[in-house]
Amino acid sequence: MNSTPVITGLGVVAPNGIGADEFWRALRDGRPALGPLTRFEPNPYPVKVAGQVVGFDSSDWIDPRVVVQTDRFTHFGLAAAELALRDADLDPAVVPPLEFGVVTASFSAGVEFGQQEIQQLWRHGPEHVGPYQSIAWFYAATTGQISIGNGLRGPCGVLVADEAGGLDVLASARDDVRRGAAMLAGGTEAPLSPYAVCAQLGFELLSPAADPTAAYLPFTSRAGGFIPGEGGAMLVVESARAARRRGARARAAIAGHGATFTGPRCFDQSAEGLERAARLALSDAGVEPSDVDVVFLDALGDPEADRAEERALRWLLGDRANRIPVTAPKTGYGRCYAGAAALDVATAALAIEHGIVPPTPNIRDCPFDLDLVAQARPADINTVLVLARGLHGGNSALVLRSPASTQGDD
Amino acid sequence: MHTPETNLPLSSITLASLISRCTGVAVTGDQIDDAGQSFAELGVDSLGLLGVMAQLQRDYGLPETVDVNTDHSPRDLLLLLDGRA
Repeated sequence: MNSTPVITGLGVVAPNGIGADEFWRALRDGRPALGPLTRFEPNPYPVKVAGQVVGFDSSDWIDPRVVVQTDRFTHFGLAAAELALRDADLDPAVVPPLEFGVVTASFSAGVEFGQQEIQQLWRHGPEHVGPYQSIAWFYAATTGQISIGNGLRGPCGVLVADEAGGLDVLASARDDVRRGAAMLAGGTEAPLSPYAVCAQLGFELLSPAADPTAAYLPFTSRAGGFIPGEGGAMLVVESARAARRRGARARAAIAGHGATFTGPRCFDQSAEGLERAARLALSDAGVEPSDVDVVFLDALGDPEADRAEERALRWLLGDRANRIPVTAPKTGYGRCYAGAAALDVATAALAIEHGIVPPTPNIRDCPFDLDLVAQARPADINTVLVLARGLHGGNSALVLRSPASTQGDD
Repeated sequence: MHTPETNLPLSSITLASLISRCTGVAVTGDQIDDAGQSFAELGVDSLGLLGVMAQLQRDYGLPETVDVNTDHSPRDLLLLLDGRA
């Protein structure tokens, strides 16, 4: 019988906190971390607000030799991986190297580094482009650097599916730990350079609002797009058996996953795909829709997309749809693309552990018939459903369960 | 705009800071003068050395035909630049 995969370490680098404890306090208190986009000056773009990671110094976390070769998204990933390993109290050196791997999700990759080098090319010529451009921009750069830096020679991969990919990596890691000892899984993003922001404008889903408290209001009558954020999370995934053997605390069990595809730029049609992904995930977990205690929403902030997500929940949960608490803590720190879902998984694990549903900051007037949580709410949480959609049409759902509810499964 | 500084002699300290900037490896001028440590021993990989060489070619007139690999030391490179090798 397969051993249940469990999360034993959380590594968070987010606009509202670095480290799981700081992150959780901000989530629990509904403390928003959106502010004016200041990563570049002046900002002439129709995006005024962002979720920026503050107080992050790459030299605190990363060998300076690696810092010069890598983009900010990899700096976040390396720091998050380090935090996750510390949180799991797992020294990679004690794990057989072929049994420890890493899988990350990325959507923007090394855009800021790429922009610097393109500027060099344009201003001064090709001989001014540095050799590290060849590796820094790459989607798999973070996976590669985490693997090299920690001596992980197990399964390595990268998934590019926007926010959906941030859930899919957990499913990938889950499958890998069934054959090995441990995986680092998650995603981080740094999409706030001018070039990266320009690339996002084409989605026509970014909120142009200037007021940080009113810029990202999914599931309200004022929904007008989302606010981009940077950062993300890396998580240590082990089999329950491996975790128990070394006396590690399981923070949550990865119980089920489902993924579907409904095509790019048709979020209005994503209800069926989201519902099916959720059903697949629940069936994979061996639980019923009625077992779901909390739903973490994708919460794109586009009126049609929000309606589709509400429809998916109604189809899935039936007349319980307005009684199961739903939340989207990302309204407080921005939608961090692939990093967003990894942060939601970390949040779900923390919610299970603390018995608290964190609120959806800034949201007051939800006209949908949903129990959208506005203030932190104590709850006995055994089963969490996390939903995510990718901007190119992927839908993904992950079911996390409290470690207690899956004990004895292996 | 960037202007090549072809006629400037390159001091050990300047080369050390250029290597540090390009590769992230902390190198001091004294290390360049005193030690015969190779780039590899200092922790500079081939991509890093490529970046150092490109900058020296651009700004200090190092001919593109000069072949330096990670078995050489920064001191070897300095001697080449001074035309003393």
